[in-house]
Amino acid sequence: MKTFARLTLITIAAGLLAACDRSPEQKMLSDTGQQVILPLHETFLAETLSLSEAATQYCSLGERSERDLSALKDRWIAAMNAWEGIQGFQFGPITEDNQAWKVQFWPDRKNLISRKTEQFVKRDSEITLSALQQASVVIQGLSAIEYLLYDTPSDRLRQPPPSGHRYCLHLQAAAQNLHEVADFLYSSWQPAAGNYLKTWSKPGPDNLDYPDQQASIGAVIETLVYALERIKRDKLERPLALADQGQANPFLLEWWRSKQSREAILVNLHSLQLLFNAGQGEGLATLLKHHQGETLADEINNKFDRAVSVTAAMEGSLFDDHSSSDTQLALIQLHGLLGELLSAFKRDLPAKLGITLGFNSNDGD
Amino acid sequence: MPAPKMIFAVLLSLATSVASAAVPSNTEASNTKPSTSEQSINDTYIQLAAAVYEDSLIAARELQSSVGTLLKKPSEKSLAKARAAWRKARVPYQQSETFRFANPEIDEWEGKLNSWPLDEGLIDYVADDYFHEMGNLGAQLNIIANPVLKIGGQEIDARNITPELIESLHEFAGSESNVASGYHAIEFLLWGQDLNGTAAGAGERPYTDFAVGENCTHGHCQRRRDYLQAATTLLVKDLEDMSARWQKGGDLHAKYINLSPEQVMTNIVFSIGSLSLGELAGERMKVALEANSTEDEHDCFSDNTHYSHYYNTLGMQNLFMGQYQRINGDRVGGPSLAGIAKAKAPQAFERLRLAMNDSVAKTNALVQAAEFSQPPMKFDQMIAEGNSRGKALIVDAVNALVEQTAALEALAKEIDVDHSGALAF
Repeated sequence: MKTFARLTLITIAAGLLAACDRSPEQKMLSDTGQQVILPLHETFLAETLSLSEAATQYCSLGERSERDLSALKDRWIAAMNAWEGIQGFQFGPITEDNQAWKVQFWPDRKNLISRKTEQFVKRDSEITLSALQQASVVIQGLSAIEYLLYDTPSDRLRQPPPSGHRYCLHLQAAAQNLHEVADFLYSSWQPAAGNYLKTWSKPGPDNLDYPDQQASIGAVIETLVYALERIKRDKLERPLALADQGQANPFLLEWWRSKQSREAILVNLHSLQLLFNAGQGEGLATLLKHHQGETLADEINNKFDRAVSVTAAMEGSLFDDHSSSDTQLALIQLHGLLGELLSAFKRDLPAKLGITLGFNSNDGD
Repeated sequence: MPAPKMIFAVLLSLATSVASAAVPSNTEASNTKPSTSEQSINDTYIQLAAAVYEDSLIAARELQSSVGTLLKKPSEKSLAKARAAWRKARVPYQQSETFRFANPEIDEWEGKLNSWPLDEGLIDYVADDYFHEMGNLGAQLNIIANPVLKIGGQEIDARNITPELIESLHEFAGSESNVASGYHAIEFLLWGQDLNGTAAGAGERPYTDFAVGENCTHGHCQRRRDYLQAATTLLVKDLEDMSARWQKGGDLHAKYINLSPEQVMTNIVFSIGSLSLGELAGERMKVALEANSTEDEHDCFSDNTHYSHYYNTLGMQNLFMGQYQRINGDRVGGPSLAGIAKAKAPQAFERLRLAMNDSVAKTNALVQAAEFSQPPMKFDQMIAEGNSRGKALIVDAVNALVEQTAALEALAKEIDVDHSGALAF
C-alpha cells in the first residue's frame, strides 16, 4: 500500500513536470498542429461547403446571368485556394485512400478530365453522388468542376434549364463529393473525431506511426520538400520549359482552364511559410534556433518572402503571359529561390536537426 | 520516363543519431580502402549490371532478326514471331531498370529506349478519336506518311528514315510525349493502337501494313518498313553502348570499381526505393488504376504490362539479393547487400526479404490473371471502372511494393545507410 502510494506520487510529479517543462520539440509539434494544420483544414472544409451550396443554388435558378456564373466561379476559386493550402501534406489523412486524387487530377496530359466527364454525363444511367464516387477519380473534384465552369460545358450551364441539366447534376455531385473529402480530412485531424493530431504530435515508443519526435518533425520537413519540388518541377519547369531548351506547353500548367496557376503557387508559398513558422507560434524556425540554426531560419524566411513577392508581382496569368520578358525574368528568379529553399530543407535543415528524410513519390523520374 | 506525378503515400525513415544525418556527397568516390569482403559488393553490382544489359542486347538482336524476317516475308506468322521476340526482349530490359535510378548516366540514356506514354500519332496513322497531349505540336506529325515534316514554319527533311533521323526526332519540340524511338515505338509498329479500351484485346495491326506493292494497307508501307527497321537498329545500337559501358574498360565499370562499398549500398537502397514506390507502384500502377486510364498503361499496345511489372519487381529483388538468372538460364551473383544486412540486422533483413518475396508474388499474380486464368484478364481490363477483382489484384501489388519500400528504409536505418545522400537535385 505504501509503495503504491509512493509510486503514484512519483508518477503524478513526473506528469506535472512534463506538463510544465515542454521541450522545444513538443512545443513545435503542438503549435504547428494548432496554429497551422487545423486552421488550414478548417478553411478547406468551409470553402467546399460554400462551393457545394453555391452549386446547388445556381442549378436551381430559372434564369442564369453571367454574373451568377461568375459568382459560382468565385466560390470555386476560393475552394481551390483552400486546397492549395494543404495540397502538399505528406502525412495524415490526406495520404489515405487517394484523397488528394479525388480533389485534383493534374497534370492531365491527355485531357482525361474532358473525356471522362463527357462520357459520364452522356451515359444512360442516373448522375448521383454514389455513381460519381464509383467513377474515375479524374471527374470527382476540383479539376472536373473547373472543366465544367471554364471549358465548353460552361456555355450550356449559362443557358436557362433544362439546358446543361446533366452537367449541373455532375457539378453538384462533384462539389458535394469534394466537401465529403474535406470533411473526412478535417474530422480525421480533429481531437473530437479521428484525432490524427494526437497521433502525430504525441510521438513515443508505443506510437507505431511516430516512434520518436524526429519522425513527427521529419513529416513536416518532408511536406515542405515535397511541396517545393512540386512547385519547382511540376508547376514551373515542365509546363514552362524552365530547366531545359524544350518548348513551353501551358496546357501542363496546374489550373490552365481558369488561368489561376500563378495564384495557386502564391497560396502554396504562403502556406508553406506558415507551416515553417507555425503561424505566430514556435515552429520549425524556432526549433532551428534551439539548434544553433538562427541564421538558417532567417535565410529561409527571407527566401520565402522574396519568392512570395516575385510571384505576386508578376502580371497577368502564366497561361497567357509566361513568355513576356518581365515574366520570364521573374520566373527565373522564382525558380532559383525554390532551388535554394529546397537545398535548405533537404540538406541544411535535416543536418542541423539530425533527421534523415525518406523516399517520396517524386523519387523515380 | 516522366509521366503524371500524383500525390502518393510517403514513407519516412528517420535516423536517430545525429552522426548518421551528415549527408555525404554522392558525386565523389570515397578514398577509404574497402575491406575485402565488402569490396565484392562492387563486383557483384558490376556483374549483375553487365549481365542484364548484355542479355537485353542479345534479346534485342533476336528481335532485330525477327523483324528482318517479317520485312522479308510479311505474314501472320512472321508478325506473330516478331511480336513474340519483342515480348522476350522486355524480360531482361525490365529487370535492368532498377539500375537506372542511382545512376544518372543510365537515367539520361534510358529515355530513348523506354519512354512512355507516347503520342503515337507522331509516328504513324491513328484512329479518328485519338487523344494526345494537349499542346503537343508533334502529336499528329505522322512521320511515316510525310517525307517532309512541316511544323511551326519549319520543314524537316524526313525522306530517308534512318536511325539518325529517329534519334533526332525523339522528344521533338521538347515534349516528352514525342517518343520516336525505343521499345514502345517498336511496340506500336508491331501491334498498332489498342482500340479496345478496357475490354479484351490488344492492338490489331495487320501484317499487310508491312507489305510491299498492292497488298499494302494504310499506305506508306515502305516508309513504315523503314521506320521499323531503323527503330530496331537504333535499339540494338543503344544497348551495345550501354552493355560496353559495364564491361572492363567502360566508364560505368570503372565507376563501380572505384566507389566505396558504402556508396554502392547507398545506391542500391536508393534505386530500389525509387523504382518501388514512386515509379512502379505510383506512376505505372496507381495512376492508371485510380484514373481508370488505359493511356497510362505501360505496355498499352501489346497488353504486356503484367510482365513488365513483374520483371521490374524481380529486378529489384535480384539487386538486393545479388543474384540474376540470365536468359540462357545461367545464374550469376555474389556477395550482396542482403548478405551484409543479414549479418548486421537479421530482423530488418528478414522483414525486407519477406516483403520482396511478397512483391514478386503479388506482381506474379498479375501475370497469372493476365496469362493463365480463363478468361484472361489483362492489365487494361483490371483497371476498368467497377472491376473489383482487377482492382484488388493491383492494389495488392501496390501495397506489397509500399511495404517493401518501408522495410527497405527500416533496414537502411539499422545498417546506417543514408540514402538521402543519393538524392540528386
